[in-house]
Amino acid sequence: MRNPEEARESRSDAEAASQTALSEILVHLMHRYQQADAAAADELVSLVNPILARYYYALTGNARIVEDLLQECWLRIHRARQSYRPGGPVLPWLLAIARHTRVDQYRRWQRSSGRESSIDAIAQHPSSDLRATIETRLEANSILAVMKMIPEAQREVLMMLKVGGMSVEEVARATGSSSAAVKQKAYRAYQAVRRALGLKQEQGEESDDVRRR
Amino acid sequence: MTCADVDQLLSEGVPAMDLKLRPAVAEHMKSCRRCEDLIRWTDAPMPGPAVDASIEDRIRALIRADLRPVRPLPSTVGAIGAALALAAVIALMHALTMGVCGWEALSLLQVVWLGGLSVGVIMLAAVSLIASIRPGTRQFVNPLIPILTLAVGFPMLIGWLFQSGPREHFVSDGVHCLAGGLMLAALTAGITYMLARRGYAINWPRTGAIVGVLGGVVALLSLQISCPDQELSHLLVWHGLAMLTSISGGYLAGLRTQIR
Repeated sequence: MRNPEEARESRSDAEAASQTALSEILVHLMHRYQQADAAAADELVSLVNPILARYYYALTGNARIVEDLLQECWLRIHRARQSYRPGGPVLPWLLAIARHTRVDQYRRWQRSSGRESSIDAIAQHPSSDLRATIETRLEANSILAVMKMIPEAQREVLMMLKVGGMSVEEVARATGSSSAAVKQKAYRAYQAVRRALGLKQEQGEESDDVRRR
Repeated sequence: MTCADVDQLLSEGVPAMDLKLRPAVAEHMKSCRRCEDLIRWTDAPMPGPAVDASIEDRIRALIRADLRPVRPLPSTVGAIGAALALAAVIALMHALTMGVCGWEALSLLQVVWLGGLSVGVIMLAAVSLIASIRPGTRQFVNPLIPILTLAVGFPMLIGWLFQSGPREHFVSDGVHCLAGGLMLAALTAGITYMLARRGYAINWPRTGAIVGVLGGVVALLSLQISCPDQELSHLLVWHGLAMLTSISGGYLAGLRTQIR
């Protein structure tokens, strides 16, 4: 029987290997996608969509907005597919476009917020009751609850490191900044996570006290 | 090992799983609940939203409806070659139609310095442009470098290499040069913009300014070859104005594209 340390070590190796394998698969799929291979495009959507969905969800916290963003983002990815350099890392390319889509959406929302109903209002529409329930459940998850306590710029860097399994260098490419700036943001983000976890713990202890009383 | 060291290691991209295996970290975690919580939180998978399954089908259908082979953007070396070739063709065409009076009046020192500046700026702008239209690429040349090299380097070189002379027809000759320069800049920038549209610009104002730099440097190069008035103030004011108008025009056009 293996001891826990060995088990952890093998899990870490397996994760690193699967991350490398994913990168290689994505490079291969992108190359075939550029050559108009429909099966490769389908597979790329299946592999990348969950990553993009988690990235957007951590930033917006709203499944309905995530769906809109995903469609807009894929439209842009499709139109910009020739801008991918064959053999280069795929995730920084994809997430740079995903990030830009979100920034543009935010700008558009800001411009039209005076004329149209707000995103919050849309989210509270009766037809989205089911989604709201699912969202509430997910919000209960401590990972998302902690994420929401982190400033957005730091959250974005943390998401890329956590969800995409990207390196600091790849995050720097995706965000158009230097590796040093990414490290600094990540450092502050982890400190914010630490504070948020502490805060949650204190809140938990307080509510336990109230219950006991 | 301290809590700050743990934050430092995590921010350097060390996976939480690997971190737990380090003896120093494992030892620290035994006595630090907060670090243990942080590493556990970092290691936990991020939950995804409940995205409607039809969304993914819609995305696939959207892609399949417009799926045709595409040619990837040229490499950085290819982009440099293309930018130099474009500049050479436009300058040559201008020289063939407007003559080479300016070229004949230039000394070897002036040719070397101005030629060096032009070629250098074209190369820097090409490297910067290809990175700015290819998302997720490392920016080897900051867009400000070609802009500043041209905007500051040109007046400095002119001030050093050329002499003041008689100022007859300063405005009428100058306006003629300015109009010609702007036409050349617009032609170069227009062709470059068409090529740049094949890529995906994350920051259009920045991309526009680089396109403007290419237009400006080709205008300066062509005017230097054909303009008979190689006098300090004429070059500084009118040729310089064509170059600056091209850069700022490119920036404003990019800004407009971004807003739309």
